[in-house]
Amino acid sequence: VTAAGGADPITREVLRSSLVNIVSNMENGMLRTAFSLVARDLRDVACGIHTAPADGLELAAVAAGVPILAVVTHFGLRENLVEFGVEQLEPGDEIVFNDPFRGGNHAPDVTIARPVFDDEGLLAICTTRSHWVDVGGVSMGSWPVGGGVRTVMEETSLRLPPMFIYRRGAAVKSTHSLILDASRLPQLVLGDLRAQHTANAIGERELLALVRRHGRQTVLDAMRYSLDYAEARVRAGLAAIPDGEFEAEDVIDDDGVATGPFRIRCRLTVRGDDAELDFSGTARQTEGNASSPWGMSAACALVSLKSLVDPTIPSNGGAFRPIDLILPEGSLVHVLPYHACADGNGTTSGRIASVVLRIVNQALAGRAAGDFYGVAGVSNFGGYDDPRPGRASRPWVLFHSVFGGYGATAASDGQSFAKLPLANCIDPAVEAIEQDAPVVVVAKELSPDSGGPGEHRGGLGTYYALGFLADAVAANSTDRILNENFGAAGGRGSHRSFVESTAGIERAVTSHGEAREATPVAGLFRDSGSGQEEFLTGKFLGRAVHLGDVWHKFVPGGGGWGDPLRRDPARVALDVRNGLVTVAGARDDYGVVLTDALEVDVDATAALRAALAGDAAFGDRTGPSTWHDGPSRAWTETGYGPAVDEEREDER
Amino acid sequence: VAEPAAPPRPGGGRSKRVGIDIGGTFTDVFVFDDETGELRTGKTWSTPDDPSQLVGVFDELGIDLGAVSVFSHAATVGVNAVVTRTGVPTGMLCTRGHRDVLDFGRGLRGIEQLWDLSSLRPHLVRPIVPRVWRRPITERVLYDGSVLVPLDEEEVVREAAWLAAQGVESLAIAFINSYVNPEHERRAKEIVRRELPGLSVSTSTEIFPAFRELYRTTSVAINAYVSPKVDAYLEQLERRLRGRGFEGLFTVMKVDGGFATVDAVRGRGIETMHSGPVAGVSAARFVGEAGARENLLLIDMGGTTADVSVVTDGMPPFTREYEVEQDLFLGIPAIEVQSIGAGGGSIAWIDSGGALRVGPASAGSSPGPACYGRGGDRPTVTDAHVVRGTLSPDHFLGGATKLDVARARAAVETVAARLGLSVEAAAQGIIDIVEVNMVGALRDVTIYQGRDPRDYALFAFGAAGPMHASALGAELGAAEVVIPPWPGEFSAFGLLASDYRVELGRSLVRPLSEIRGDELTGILLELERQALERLVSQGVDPATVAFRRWLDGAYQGQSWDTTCELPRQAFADEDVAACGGRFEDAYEQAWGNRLGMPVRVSALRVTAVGRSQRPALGRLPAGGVRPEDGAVLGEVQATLRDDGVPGRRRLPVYDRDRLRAGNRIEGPALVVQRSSTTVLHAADRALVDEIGNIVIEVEAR
Repeated sequence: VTAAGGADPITREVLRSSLVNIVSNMENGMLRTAFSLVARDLRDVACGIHTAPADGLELAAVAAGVPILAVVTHFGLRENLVEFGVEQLEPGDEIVFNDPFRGGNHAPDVTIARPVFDDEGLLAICTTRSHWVDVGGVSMGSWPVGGGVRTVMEETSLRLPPMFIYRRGAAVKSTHSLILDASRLPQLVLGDLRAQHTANAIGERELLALVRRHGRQTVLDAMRYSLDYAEARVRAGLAAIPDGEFEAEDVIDDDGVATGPFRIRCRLTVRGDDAELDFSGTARQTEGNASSPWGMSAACALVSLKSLVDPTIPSNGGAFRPIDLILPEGSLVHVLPYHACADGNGTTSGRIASVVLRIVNQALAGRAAGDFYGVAGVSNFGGYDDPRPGRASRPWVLFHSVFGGYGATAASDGQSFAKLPLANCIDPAVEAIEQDAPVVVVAKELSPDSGGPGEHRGGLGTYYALGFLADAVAANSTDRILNENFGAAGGRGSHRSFVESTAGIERAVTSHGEAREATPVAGLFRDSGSGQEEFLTGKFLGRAVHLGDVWHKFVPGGGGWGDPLRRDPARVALDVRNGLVTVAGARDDYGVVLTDALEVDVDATAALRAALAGDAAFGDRTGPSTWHDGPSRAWTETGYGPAVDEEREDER
Repeated sequence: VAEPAAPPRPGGGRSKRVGIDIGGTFTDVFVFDDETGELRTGKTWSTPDDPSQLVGVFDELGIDLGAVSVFSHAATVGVNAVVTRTGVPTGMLCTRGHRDVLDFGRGLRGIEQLWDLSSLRPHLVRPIVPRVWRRPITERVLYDGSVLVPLDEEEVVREAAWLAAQGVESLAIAFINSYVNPEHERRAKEIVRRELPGLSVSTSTEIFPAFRELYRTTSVAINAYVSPKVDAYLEQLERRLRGRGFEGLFTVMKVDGGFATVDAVRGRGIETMHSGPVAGVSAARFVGEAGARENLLLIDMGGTTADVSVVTDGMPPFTREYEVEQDLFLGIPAIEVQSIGAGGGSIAWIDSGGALRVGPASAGSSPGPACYGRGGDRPTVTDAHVVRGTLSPDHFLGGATKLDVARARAAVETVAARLGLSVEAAAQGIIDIVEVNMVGALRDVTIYQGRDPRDYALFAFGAAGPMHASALGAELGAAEVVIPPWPGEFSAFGLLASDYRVELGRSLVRPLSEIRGDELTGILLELERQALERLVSQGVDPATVAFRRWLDGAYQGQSWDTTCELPRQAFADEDVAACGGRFEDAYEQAWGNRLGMPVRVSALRVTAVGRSQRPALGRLPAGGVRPEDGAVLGEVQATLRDDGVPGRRRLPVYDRDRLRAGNRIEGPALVVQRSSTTVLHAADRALVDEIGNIVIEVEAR
């Protein structure tokens, strides 16, 4: 395969695959040598290969890592390298940067970029972006949320403009010292930083091998081809949408300071195979730190649109060429320097995906899907002492990132237990978490009735219970407390998210099925006496957690697709037998009546469905009925103990 | 069932060794006679997992069971049970709060499915243990093995009884943190055994005490699901063989490449999974050793998949994360064989971006490639070969089946038109794409693991492997390319060419600096003692057993292990530090740098290998440099890429059965045998060695 110029379609396709393979290998190297749980087990990491400056520094190849991190680097690399001065770069150099306002997302996500030179000069740039476990600032884990932080300087001790971190192959000590001195967990940061260096070196070695084999020009052509190929695929997808304008909006509950709703509005205009996404009409940036920097918003909007139009298109820079983007300055989707924005990465980013999904549901009805679980659900628990026997007294952090349900589609029920596709992480093993941090994962299970009801049920949400073997401080980001997610084509959304706490880890394991005293942490809670509702924000920092406490996190499921009264009763019965839907849920959400043996009562079901079809209150429901009276009831009915219907199973 | 206590002695009327490998389409048989050195191969249509059909193969090939000294088998019953979800009804006892480990997997989505919202994790849709049969048990062990909540024994009795009443026949027990303290699992099993003696029970730690609950949980679930079927199949097969006069030794291949007797895998059916592909690795190691080759790169290309593996210094790589399907792992030591959707039947297609793709969909054996003339009309890799001329229509399966060139051209034309290429160029394109997919897989196991392909001989087998071997070798820059004597039945041969193997481990998860020398020695000696006991119970001569010791570890703070070998010695406290040095050497080898930081030991392992009596292969008679005149069957017209000759050219066709040791062939040429065709490109120089291998010197691209 040495055809000069690489003009033939076969060679270019061969090399396109090779570039993706190289990025996969970079990510594998990164994962296997990283030190923090975030990088090595959660895989909150992405690598990429970008074209040289002469070709626009576009992201030419990505693999399976966190898509949003790779695409943010697509924007950030250009911003940082142009400012830094490309002419300064020499072989063996690496540049580090993380500034949210230079095309980034938030301070903990740090890019290290390595220019790759061959004999004739700069060939390409290899990049790795990784979530560092702590980059200083007011909150352990450096993801403060909500009130008390007004600027990015309070959020982080490490706002890095582009700087040398390796120079001609040697580690730059001053930059290393700056970074390590800013972190409460320097050992982990150093380990991960070196893992990024290892990954970049793998990328360089492989790219140069490709050039030796195929020639410089062929490899450059292949990068251009990869970009053109993705562009052509997106254009084909856009051309399938009828010309027109599609508008949608969604909201975030609050920003931890003021209660919203804060609106994100978007209009898609399609003309032939060109498109424009215009976020005019989106709320102003808010006092808290839920607003998103432009690089993050651009990445979320563009990746969501192109992926929903055609899920198989590679997420490289070429895919974004056909789409113009308008992000109004000073809005929730384009926060201005140097306003705090750490949680724009969790809350607003996920909602941008929901808004784009709403638009696609209008524009391409055949692809319509219920919403994602739609919350960051991230908690950073940390402390200054790990008191477990044999453990050194030093700071620790658990970055707890949740998985939830996906929406259902015309083709199938929704996926349970997945990460937003923008953040395709790996779920760390319970045993890895427990080795790492003074935490007991008491439960990690599907929570019944949490899938959005529909002819196709949304994926189920997740119930987590975390017990603490040390005192800690928590920062948390949860949304969808006041404003639930949505279904498609007549399907319903899932329940509202919430967090509660109890005392006693042992008790949490053993006291299943019993009523228990829970302290509300975040959610919309209804007083059973007065019926008054109280909203406790899910966006906060500095919350004390005590040894022996257990946090119970309820992550929503995905939205349903289609009328729940059309769901096959046999599938509802199967869901009940499997503990995914309760007997009450089957009756109230699906109009399916089950016998004591959990078989479908055909006549009663037909009668109930007929009644519900004409019942306006049923038609107005937005989510699963068993969760409507507030979290506590749902919990006792569906918590980690044997649910009511499990006991019924026993009678079968 | 009468089990011979010792390996049978050759002679005494029993001199034949028989290996049988069941594939998706064909069952391959290999027979070797210890007395005469005669060897035979056979192929018959597969009827998977039917012991009586297998017994029938002996009749079909006229093999007297009374004359068989060793019968070795790669059973597919376990893997088929998982793939088709036809295992026995299986329940699970899990830690309360952790009922969904099987459904959750790693939580991630593959890059191709990332935004495909209707793509679901397989176990959610087709569970091997449905959620209703996964029963939470009140118990909790912590990270250090201490007990937070004692096992609720009454609950175990209640739940197990309920499951049995539901019709569950097999039970898996998997508790959180059991890798540090297996007592709750052990006790729960004891209780179930006592209360419900009819139920088959496995615990996660007795399968393998691995760190990370997902790997233990999927392993024990798979084991519980397949074991009763595997046991019944092997017992029935053995009974039938014995009934027909078989008095020899009956062994099965395990996924770690070792033999075991039927008794030794009873209740451990997981160990028999995927042993077919692994048998190919054993075969290559054997033939490699015979030719003094220790570094082998293997590609086994059949109709639907290509299996890729590697052997370094005579050792294949082991994994404990063998993925049967997405997020369903064999968490036991297994020879790493990567399978990709690249076979002779792989279908070529054009994606929405106008790019040519090949596979993973395959035309299989029905309808098959278009050129088979059995109703297939999609272009396959085999059709591309027919168009190109590298698969000679007159010599396919010894001429027994004619290939239809016109149909092959018509099929390839469908993609050629859309690419704006000639039919010949499109055919070449299909071959290039399938080859780049295979090169990608071969690079994964070499370069990406820090191994230089120039140090390796590429062994190509499977019916389709030899057609691509030379091109793959050139692309990789392999030292040489080897086509073994019986590429089509090579895996069946591997069933005669392995050893007994046991691997045992103990999880520690502690800093190396905290481990005393005598503790280290004690654990390793105890593991060796247990391993030896298992081998001896299978009739292995203890004098032949070779032990190796391994440390799985990581720098303190890392999570994924790097493995190093430990010496067989008694460790004083000061020797423990030297183990850290060995770890750092291995780490540097794998990842390119050493960090000089404290090391944490995840596990200690021992492998014990007991020699079997291997067949003594004969030598191919010597011939001259030029093949004998009758070896040339004729000529074909073919196009090859990169040989500087535009258009079609004439290629001689050699009959492999008539080649002799010392014969040399210059490319371009085809070498045909009944079940396979070897393609030689223009720059290739091939030599037939005395084992019967075709050894090709290729010019690196």
